[in-house]
Amino acid sequence: MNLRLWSLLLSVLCVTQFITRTTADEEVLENAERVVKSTNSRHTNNWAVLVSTSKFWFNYRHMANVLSLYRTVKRLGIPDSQIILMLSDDIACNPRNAFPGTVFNNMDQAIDLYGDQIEVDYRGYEVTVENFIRLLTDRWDENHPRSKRLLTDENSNIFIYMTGHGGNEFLKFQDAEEIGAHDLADAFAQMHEKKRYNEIFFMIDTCQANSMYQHFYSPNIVAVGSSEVDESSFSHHSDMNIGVAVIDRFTYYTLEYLEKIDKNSNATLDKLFAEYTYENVHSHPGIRTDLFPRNVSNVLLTDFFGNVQNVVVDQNNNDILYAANHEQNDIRNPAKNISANQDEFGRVVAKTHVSYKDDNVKTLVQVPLSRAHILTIITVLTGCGLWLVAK
Amino acid sequence: MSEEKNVKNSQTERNVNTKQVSKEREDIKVIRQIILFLILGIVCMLGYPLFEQTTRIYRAELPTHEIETNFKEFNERIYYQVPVFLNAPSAWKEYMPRIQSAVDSKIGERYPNLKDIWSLELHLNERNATLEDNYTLEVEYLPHPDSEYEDYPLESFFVSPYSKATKIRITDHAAISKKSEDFIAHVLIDGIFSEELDSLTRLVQDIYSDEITVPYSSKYNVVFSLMVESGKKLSWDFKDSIDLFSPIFSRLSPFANFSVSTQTQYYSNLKFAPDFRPDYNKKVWKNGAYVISEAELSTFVNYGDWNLFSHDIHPTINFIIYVPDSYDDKPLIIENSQTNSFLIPRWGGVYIYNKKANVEELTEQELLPLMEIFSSHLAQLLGLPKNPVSPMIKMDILFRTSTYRNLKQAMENLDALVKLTNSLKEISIPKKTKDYVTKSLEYFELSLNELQKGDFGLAVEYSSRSFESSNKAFFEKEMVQQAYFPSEHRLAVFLPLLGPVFSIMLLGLIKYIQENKKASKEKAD
Repeated sequence: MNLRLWSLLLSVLCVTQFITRTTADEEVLENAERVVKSTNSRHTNNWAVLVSTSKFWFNYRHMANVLSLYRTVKRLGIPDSQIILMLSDDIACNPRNAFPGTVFNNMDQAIDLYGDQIEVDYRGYEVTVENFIRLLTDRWDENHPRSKRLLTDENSNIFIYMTGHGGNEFLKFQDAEEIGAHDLADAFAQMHEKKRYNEIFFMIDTCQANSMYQHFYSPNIVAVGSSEVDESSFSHHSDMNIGVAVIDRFTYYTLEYLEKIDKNSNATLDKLFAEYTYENVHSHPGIRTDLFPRNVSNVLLTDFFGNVQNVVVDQNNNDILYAANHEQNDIRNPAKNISANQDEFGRVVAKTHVSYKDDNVKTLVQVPLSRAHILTIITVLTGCGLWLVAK
Repeated sequence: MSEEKNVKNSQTERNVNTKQVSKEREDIKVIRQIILFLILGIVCMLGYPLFEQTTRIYRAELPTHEIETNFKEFNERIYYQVPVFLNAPSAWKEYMPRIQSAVDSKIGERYPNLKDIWSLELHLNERNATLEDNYTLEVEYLPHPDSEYEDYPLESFFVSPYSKATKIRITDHAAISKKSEDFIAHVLIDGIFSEELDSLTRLVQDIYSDEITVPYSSKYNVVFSLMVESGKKLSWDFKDSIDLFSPIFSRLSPFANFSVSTQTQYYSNLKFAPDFRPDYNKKVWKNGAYVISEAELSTFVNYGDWNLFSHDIHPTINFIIYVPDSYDDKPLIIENSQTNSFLIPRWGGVYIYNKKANVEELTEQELLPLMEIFSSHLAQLLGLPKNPVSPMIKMDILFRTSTYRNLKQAMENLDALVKLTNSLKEISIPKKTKDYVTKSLEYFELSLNELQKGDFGLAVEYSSRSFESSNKAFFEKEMVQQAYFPSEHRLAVFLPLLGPVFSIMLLGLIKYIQENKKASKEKAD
């Protein structure tokens, strides 16, 4: 009974101590709470679909756009197996390219986007509306390789980036065909119905881009576009040596912000959106969040650009192989001893917890009297100590 | 006057002329009308059905009602009854109902969601017959100690790692206070089946939390790779080592098939240079060690350069033995890892093996601890529970939970398909889709049947087929919606084709009606 009383006192002391701390560090706690809230996306894997729908030399910037994003998502940890890259891939080795085998997104030519390992999944004539829709809905021939599929599930966050030449409610694919805003919306609806995503971040950098996402009707999609209807999406600057524009304004400022981000960054989506000003982009970027239940100021950028798959070190459950390869009481092959406790039959003792001893005693914990005295003294001392510290 | 007359004359002349022109020979008029009706007939009887036929989207009739009821009443339809045999004296016969009700009430209390889904069926196995492949509880009674100085024995239980048997020891305390049935219920629910019940509860509540598990497939590729950093020859006794896995794979065969392959690759470089720390764990590594921090591990596998197996349609589970080129006994160590290994969720396991400088072969004995770790990785990647110790029970639990998940996902897929076809009116539903839907439903019923019979191996096999058929139905290649056309576009496409035909027909029809009216008027006059 004594022990009970003292433990009660201790818990009271703890509570008072906690309260004093709370008033002191209210701000810190609030921040911590925000971080906890912001990381509550329940995804377990990240995917990226990056599409450049243009072809030919003068569309250099579209390839540079998409390769820049490719570089970024790779840098932030999405493995190549979870990035689907669709592009015409006719720029680096174009006869008009003064720097063969390279693609730059800036006239300072600091980063060769084509230099790092580029794994293109769909190139040249494979970049079609049909393939794109098939990719999203995963309706392929049986023998379509896994590396070219979007193998997402209900725990996947997907980042989708598209760039090319667009118009009101359509996006042109390589001067041959076009994808409509309705097609895209229906494809997302099918993905939602089949539980193929947890959340989607859709980003599009084309002329009249905002018209492309206005027909979406499936939940958990946040969308940004570079320009309103009847507006162009402008390029940022040209490289005189290359002779064409090397990047679009919208993508340029997206990248400029993402370059500051690393894998463990706590930056949120609204910070990125704040970069999209008319002064920067020279058109009116659109942001659509009505389908997205979370507040964008609580959504980490790494929820979409990074990869959550952390490795697991040393969480092994032992002896599966041994047990599977040995019969009971098998003495022929004593390869090694089982590490856990054994009873006399050589069987592993799993749990011996429950005891039905002393049913009538009412004490919570059974301790000898002398030990209880020592415990009480220690508890009192720590309690007083804590109380003094808190004071 | 004469001029006026002239005008009148010319007018009458013109009238006569026009009358002569419009005056059509009666037989030609008939022929013209016949032609008109012939064309009309052809257009209506042949053209229209042809047009319909060629532009129609084929939509097979799906068994919508069956799917919806299966989906809605899923938890009512599925029922597990797991038999457990009690090896106890026949005097226990009268206690059996009490034990059964203790077990039932414990399930109902702890797992209210599973009350109508999962139950244990206790049998008394009087003759202590050895029951292969069945859960048995061997009850042992520990009497009161003879001398006062001996310790009181405690209730305890042992789960055999080699079979499905569990030994229970019951003492006087439980027996006298009539708590034996409580203890048996505790052993069964908290000791043996706790993880199964936990994961089933999560599945019932639609909480999927498999961060590590590889997505389910009926076939997996398991690839063991020996990655050697240098080019120095290194052989390994993979055959015997990998044979150790065959009992596991054969036992898992109802769940999935595994095809095992191996490869050796030289010059497998890391993308980054690990830190050299001269004083890391000085006691073990006298010359210091190269240390990889946990943050660096996520980029350890060089997906681009290492020739990893990834082209198959079925998912691949990779196990990599990485042999670094260690100089002067400075090993490559993973920070804070006792086993020097790590697991990459949904992908595989990696073990860093620091060999001695002049070793040219890894023997089975050396590989054995690695294979033990890989088996543990495999268990986690497949979603085997951590408890109880017996792999047989673990696999049984995996079978039952996967059966539930597969069947539920199959019905979810089919339900999604139905919803989709209802909402997208212009998507085609090929016959193949319908075939797969019926197949999936058939296997669903078969799996439920096997569950009732208590054959959990067959149940998981059928459930996997049901799941895969439902996936095939949903992902049928031909079920890609054609590009969206606004109605203006449609008009623009068809007008050049249909315009000329329809304008001629329409004008001819108008003329015919006018002539008919005229004729009838004349008749009336």
